[in-house]
Amino acid sequence: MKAIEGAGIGFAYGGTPLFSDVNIFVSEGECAALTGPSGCGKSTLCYILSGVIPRSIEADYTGTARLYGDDIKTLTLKQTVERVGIVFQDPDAQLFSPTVEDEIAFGPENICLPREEIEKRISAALASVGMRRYRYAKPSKLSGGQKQLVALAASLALKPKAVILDEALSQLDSDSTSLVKQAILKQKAQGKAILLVEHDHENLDIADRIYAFSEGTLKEVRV
Amino acid sequence: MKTLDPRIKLFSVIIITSLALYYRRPLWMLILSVSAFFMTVMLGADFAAFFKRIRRFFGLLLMISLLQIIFVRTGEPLLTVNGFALIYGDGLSRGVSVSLRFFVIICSAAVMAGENSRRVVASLIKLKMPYTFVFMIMITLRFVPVFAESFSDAITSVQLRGIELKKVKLGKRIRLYSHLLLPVVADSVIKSQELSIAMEARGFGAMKKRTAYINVRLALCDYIVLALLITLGAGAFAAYGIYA
Amino acid sequence: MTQPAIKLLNARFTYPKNTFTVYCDMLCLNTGRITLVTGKNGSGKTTVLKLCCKILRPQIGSLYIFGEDAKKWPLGRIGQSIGYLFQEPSHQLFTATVWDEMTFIGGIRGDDSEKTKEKALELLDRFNLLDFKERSIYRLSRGEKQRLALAAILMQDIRYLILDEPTTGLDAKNRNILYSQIESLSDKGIGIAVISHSGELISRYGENKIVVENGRVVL
Repeated sequence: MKAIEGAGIGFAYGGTPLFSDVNIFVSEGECAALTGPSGCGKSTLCYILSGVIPRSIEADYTGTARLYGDDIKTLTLKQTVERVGIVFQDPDAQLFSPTVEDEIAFGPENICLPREEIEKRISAALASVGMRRYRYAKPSKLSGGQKQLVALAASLALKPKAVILDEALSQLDSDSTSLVKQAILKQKAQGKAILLVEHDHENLDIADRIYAFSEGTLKEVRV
Repeated sequence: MKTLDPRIKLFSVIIITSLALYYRRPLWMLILSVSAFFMTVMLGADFAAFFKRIRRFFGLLLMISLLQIIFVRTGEPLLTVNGFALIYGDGLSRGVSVSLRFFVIICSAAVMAGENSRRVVASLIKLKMPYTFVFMIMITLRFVPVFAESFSDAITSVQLRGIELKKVKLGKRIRLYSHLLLPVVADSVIKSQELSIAMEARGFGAMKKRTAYINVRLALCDYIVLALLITLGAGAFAAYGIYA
Repeated sequence: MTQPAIKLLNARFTYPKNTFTVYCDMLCLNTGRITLVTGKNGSGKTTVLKLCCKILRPQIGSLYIFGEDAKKWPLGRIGQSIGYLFQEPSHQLFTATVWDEMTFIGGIRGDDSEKTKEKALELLDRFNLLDFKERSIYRLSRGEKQRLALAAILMQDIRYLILDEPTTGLDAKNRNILYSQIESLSDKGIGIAVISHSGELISRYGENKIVVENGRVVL
C-alpha cells in the first residue's frame, strides 16, 4: 500500500513557483530518498506530505497529499501523527523539555496514552536509537548528534506508520549515522514507510528508491 | 523539602512576593528577606547558581535603588553637602526597601527556577488550568535563557570580529548592543515558530486533555507545609497591618 | 622555526556541574596548512577549538597566540588575528543587508574609508556575493549566509581561521565552493582548522588530523 503519496503537488513561494506537478510515493516497508540542491523545495514537500503545511504553516498547495489513501487535509491531528512522524533538521528547534525522558513522553501524552504504555514507549524509543543511558540527561547539554537521536526517538514514541526525516543525519558523526540508519532499517523491517531527505549521497545507501529535484520538477532516478 | 509538590512551592512564592509588595517598612522587609532566603534554602533551590546567572543585572537593580534614594526628597535630611540635602530619610528607606524587595523576588525566582518544568506543568494542569496555556508559559520561560544565550553568542561573535568592547565608547557600545537585539529577537521568533511546528507534529493540541506521565500528588508533608504557609502568611499580613 | 599560530598547553576545561571535562596536553595549530579536528559527536572537539580562541577559558593551562601569552588578551584582540566561523552562520550575522554586514565592524570603529569599502567589495566578489550586495540577510540561503559570514570575518587581516562543522546543511555544489575557498585561503598562508566528522572532509583534509576522544586530544 502507498503509505505516503503526493499527486500533482505544486507550491509557490510569494508568487514564485517553487515546484509543480510533483508525484511521489513511499510504500509500506520501503525507504525512499529525496535529494536535490539547496532551496529546491525538499523540506517544503516534506511539510506538505506530513500535514505541517497547511496546518502549522499558513500556506497552501495544489494537488493532493495522501497518507494511507486518505487525503491529509481530511485527517485530524491525532490521525495524522499516528500515520506520519517527522524529524526536522535542527534539533534545537525540536527539543524543549528538561530531560530526555520528558521529551519522549511528550508525544504519547498528547494522544492520551496511559502511563504504563508511555513508559514502554519511552524505553523502546530510547533503545531503538541507542540513547538509553541518557534517559535523565538534559537535552540542552547533549551534543548536536545526540540531540538529533533524541528528536528521532521522540517521533518514534508515537509509533507512526511512516517517518519523514528532513536532513536528520546532517549533524551526525559516522557512528551516530550508522546507529540511526540501523534504527531506520529496523523501522522499515517492521513495515514502516521511510522518506529520507539527504544531501550526502553516502547516506542514500539505505534507500530503495531515490527521487531527485531538478529545476522545479521531481524525478525518480533509481529503482 | 526538595520533593515538595510544585503547587506548594508556587504557593510559597506567591505568599512571599505578595508580602514583598505589601510591606513598605525597611525593617519588615529585612525580616521578610531573611525569611525568604531561609525558605529558598529549605526548598532546595540552588541559590548560588541562580545568583551567578543573574548577577549581570545587579548593576541595573542597584541603579534603580539609587534613583529612589536620590529622588525621594521627603522626611529628615540625612546627608547634607554645602547646605544642600542629598539624601532624605524617606528616600533611604524607599531605596533599601526596593533593594530588599528585589532580593525577595530573586529568592522566589530561584525556588521556581530549580523546579522541573514538567512537574510544574503537571501540577498546574491538576489545578485545572488549560494545558495549552500552561505550555505557553513554560515555553516562554524556556526561551528566556535561549534569548540570553543568543545575545551572549552575538557579543562573542562581534568581539571575534576584532572589536575590543572596553575600547568602544559607551554611546557606541549601547548602539552596538541595540543593533544586536534585532538578529537575536529575529532568531528567537524563528526558533519559537519552528518549535511550535515540531510540537504540533508530535500531536500537541490534538485532544482537549492530555495524560501526564509525571504524576504529581499532594503528600502529607505538602499538606503540613501548606497549613504552615497559610498560617504564617496570614499572620504576616495581619501583623504588618496592626504594628507597622 | 616559526611559532605555531595557536598553542594550547596543559589545558583543562570542565563544564558547570562537572558534566564534562576536556583535557589537552599540547595542541599546536600552524599557519599555511589545513588541519582537520575530528571525533565523534560529544567528544569535545568544538570545546577544544573554543579553548584555542578563548571563547571558553580553561580553568588550567596556557594559550599562546603567535608566540605570545594570550592569558590577558581580551576576545577582541584575539579576533584580530583569529577568525571563528560558527556552525550556524546566522549566529554571527547582525545587520539587515549583505553590504551592512561587511561594513558593520568598520562602522563601530569609525572606519568608513574608501580602502575599507574596496576591501568589502573585493571580498564579496571573491565569495560570489557581489550581486547580493543589497539583499536582506534573511533572504539568503544557508550556503550564502556562510559565505557572507566568512567574508565578514576576512575583513580583519586574520592569520588563522577556525571553521566549526562548515559542511552542515550544504549541498554538493555549496560544499565544493567551500572547499575551494578553504584551499584558496590556505594558499594565501592563512592557517585553517576545520572541525568535522564528515567522511568527505576526512578524506580530503585528513592528512593533518587531530582526533578528540572522550574529551582528550589524542593525536
